[in-house]
Amino acid sequence: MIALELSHVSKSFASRGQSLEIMRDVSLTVQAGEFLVVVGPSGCGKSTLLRMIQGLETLSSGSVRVGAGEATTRGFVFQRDGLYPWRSVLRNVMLGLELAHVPVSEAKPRAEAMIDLVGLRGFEGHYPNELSGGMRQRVNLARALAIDPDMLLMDEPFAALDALTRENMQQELIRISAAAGKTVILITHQIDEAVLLADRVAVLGARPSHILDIVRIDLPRPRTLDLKRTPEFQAYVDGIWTMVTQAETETRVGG
Amino acid sequence: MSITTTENGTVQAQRPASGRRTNYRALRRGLTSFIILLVGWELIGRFVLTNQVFAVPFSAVVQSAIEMWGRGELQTNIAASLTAVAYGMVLAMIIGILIGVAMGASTAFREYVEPLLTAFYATPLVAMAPILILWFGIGIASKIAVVFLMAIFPIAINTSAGIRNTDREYLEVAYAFRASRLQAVWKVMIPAAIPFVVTGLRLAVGRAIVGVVVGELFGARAGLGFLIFTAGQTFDTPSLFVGVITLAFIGMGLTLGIRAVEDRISGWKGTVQE
Ligand SMILES: Nc1ncnc2c1ncn2[C@@H]1O[C@H](COP(=O)(O)OP(=O)(O)OP(=O)(O)O)[C@@H](O)[C@H]1O
Ligand SMILES: [Mg+2]
Repeated sequence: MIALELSHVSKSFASRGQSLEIMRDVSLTVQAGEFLVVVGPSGCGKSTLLRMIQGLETLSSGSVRVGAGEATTRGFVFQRDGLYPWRSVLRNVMLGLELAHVPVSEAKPRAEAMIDLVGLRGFEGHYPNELSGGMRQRVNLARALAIDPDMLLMDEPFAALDALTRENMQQELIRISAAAGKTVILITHQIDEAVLLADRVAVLGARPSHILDIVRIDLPRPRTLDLKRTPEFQAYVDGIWTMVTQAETETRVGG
Repeated sequence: MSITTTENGTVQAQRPASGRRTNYRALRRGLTSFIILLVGWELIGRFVLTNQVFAVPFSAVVQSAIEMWGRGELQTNIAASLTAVAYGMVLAMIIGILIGVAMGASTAFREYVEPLLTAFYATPLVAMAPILILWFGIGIASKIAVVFLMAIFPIAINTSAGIRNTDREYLEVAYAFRASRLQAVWKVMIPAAIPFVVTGLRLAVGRAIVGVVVGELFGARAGLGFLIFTAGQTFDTPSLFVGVITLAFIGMGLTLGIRAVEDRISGWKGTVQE
């Protein structure tokens, strides 16, 4: 079953009276239950792509089709956490459930379980300005997971985390996505993270970005961190790394 | 702001130590000014301007205040003024916030009413007091009307600014989780606007006090404005000062109270518009 289909998506922003072309003719199909990771140079339009999928940004041309349309629930993890400073951790995590009119008696335990999952038990009553960057990012993650979405759209969800927490979160995500058969689209700058998590890695090129290549990661599942030491793993990382650095140089040259 | 973990494992936000020291220093300097003012007043009242109608020493004012308190006169007048302020402020809050939210949520509505509000905000509406007294009669109703007119505009304007300044990111989060337009207003715009609303309230309270006094000067049977008016008529200068100083205390108390609330929620939003 197809979970997501992008066809000939192009995007331009009007900026300072000029039209800035961000993305040109991106086509991509994601199967239900698939884990797709998107990598590419900074500013190439990864966040914009994810926002277009979620309907937060309009397309200049082309189309985005999500499996069952609005019936497909989507959890969005924002690059900047977007936590509400007037809500406690618990109430931030409950946001999606609250907006979907889930009764508190049901929403609260669900949110608490997610807070536990991201390792923030005991911080339910705290406010975002009392949390560190990494803690805020984990609340952001818990908020997306709490609605138990069919599809997870994650914009650099682990970027602000320390190495150990990051690895824990990666393991959790592998477990959740495998157990619940969720479709995941995740953006990252960490290529080893991409290889560890992905069924396929989409490499975006410099602006106006397009898909340089889609690399299928044929590594066995369930994946553990030991995998990182294998030569196969390293070969994937090197291959993708070469493409991304090349694209990054192009970005700089192209301004 | 720094984060510290206390022994029982809870995390608390603290002000930096230097901030606290500055606060004490500021308090000390502020008090010094007050003391110099009062001592200067006492000396001038005793030795320079000795005509008791034009000026009285501070001690005479204190004495008069004690007497008025003993007779229960001060309390009755404070209560009369504060009651009018309270009713007027509550009305202004309810209607002002409603108007502000509507303005923030609907561009069309804002474009219709904002010029009117801005014009009224800039108008010295206390000048309307005599006609309000004609309309509502001598008594609490006309005072409430003056307070209301003085207080509503800063509240409505600040609320609307707060709603419109809602961080785009906060709204995007709500829409990403499929909020309806109504939910976005209720669960995002209104909470995000609260710091602005509180600032509006602080600006409104000062104007409300001016309003109630002017209302009482023009026609009332009780209140601090009435007290000042009668004291003026009977050349009772000490009582006049008692009224003025009491008003100063009330105004300062209310403003500081709202400031404290503002400080507590300022972590929500860096800047609040004046
Ligand atoms: N609302 C907007 N108006 C104008 N230009 C925009 C807007 N949003 C994004 N852009 C531009 O689009 C380009 C892509 O931005 P985007 O945030 O999608 O990049 P990204 O690939 O996520 O980068 P990073 O890896 O640094 O997060 C950037 O050049 C940015 O300046
Ligand atoms: Mg981005």
